[in-house]
Amino acid sequence: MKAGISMNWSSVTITPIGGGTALTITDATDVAINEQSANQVFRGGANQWPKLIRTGEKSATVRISMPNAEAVMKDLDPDKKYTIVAILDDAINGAGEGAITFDMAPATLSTRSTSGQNNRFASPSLSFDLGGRSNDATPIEITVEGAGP
Amino acid sequence: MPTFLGSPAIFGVWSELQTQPRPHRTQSIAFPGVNGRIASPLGTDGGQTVARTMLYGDNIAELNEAEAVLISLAANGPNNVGMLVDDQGRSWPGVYVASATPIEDVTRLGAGYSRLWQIAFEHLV
Repeated sequence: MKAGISMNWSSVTITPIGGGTALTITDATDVAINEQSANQVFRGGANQWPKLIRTGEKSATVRISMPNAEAVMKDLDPDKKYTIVAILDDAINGAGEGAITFDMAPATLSTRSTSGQNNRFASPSLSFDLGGRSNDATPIEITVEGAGP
Repeated sequence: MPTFLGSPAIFGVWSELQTQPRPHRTQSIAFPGVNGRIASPLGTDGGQTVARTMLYGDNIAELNEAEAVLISLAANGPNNVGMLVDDQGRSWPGVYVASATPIEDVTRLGAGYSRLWQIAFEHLV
């Protein structure tokens, strides 16, 4: 198997910041992490191409899909902030060397969907908006197992 | 690159400006019993340039310094009359900063900080 060709999420843990019971999803079918910059394009001076592009405002979302609707209906509070840790297994070593951990916080629940067609594969999902950490740092911290000097 | 009083400082890292000369001043004279009027030319009447500029600093202190230059020019107004060279290379003498207005909150630009300002220049000639 070619490394990285499959997206195997071994676990996703959603933990309330400030205390509370964590929700662990072991059968996630999709963890869609999207990071966006709301680029502002500045033109002028008869230039055909932009003179300056400003990536001032950033946003990030994560949507976790799973076959089991029960997890979606758990007690996630839209008024709470959560830390989400999702582990993407290495294609060969599993959760060992090469596995990638996405640590995302603070996450605020935006959509809790139990969408799924009758008698088809279920596709309930949880969607979160990610805020900035203290000191304006990215809410998505990525570490690779076994990586280092 | 536009300049004002010989310096490009207040035009920051990006700018756009439009100059609009005012119409020629005239004296309009009407005559009893005659249709229409005579327009007697009195001379030019200056104009106005409106600029949007993005000031930048590697840190907040440097942005504050860049903004202080513009704020000072706006505060002094007609005490600082001089030459404005626009982005087409045209020179406009007798110009001063009539007002300078921040039009957004401080916004990150790369590793630094930026803010858009709108500047109104008054042309005396």
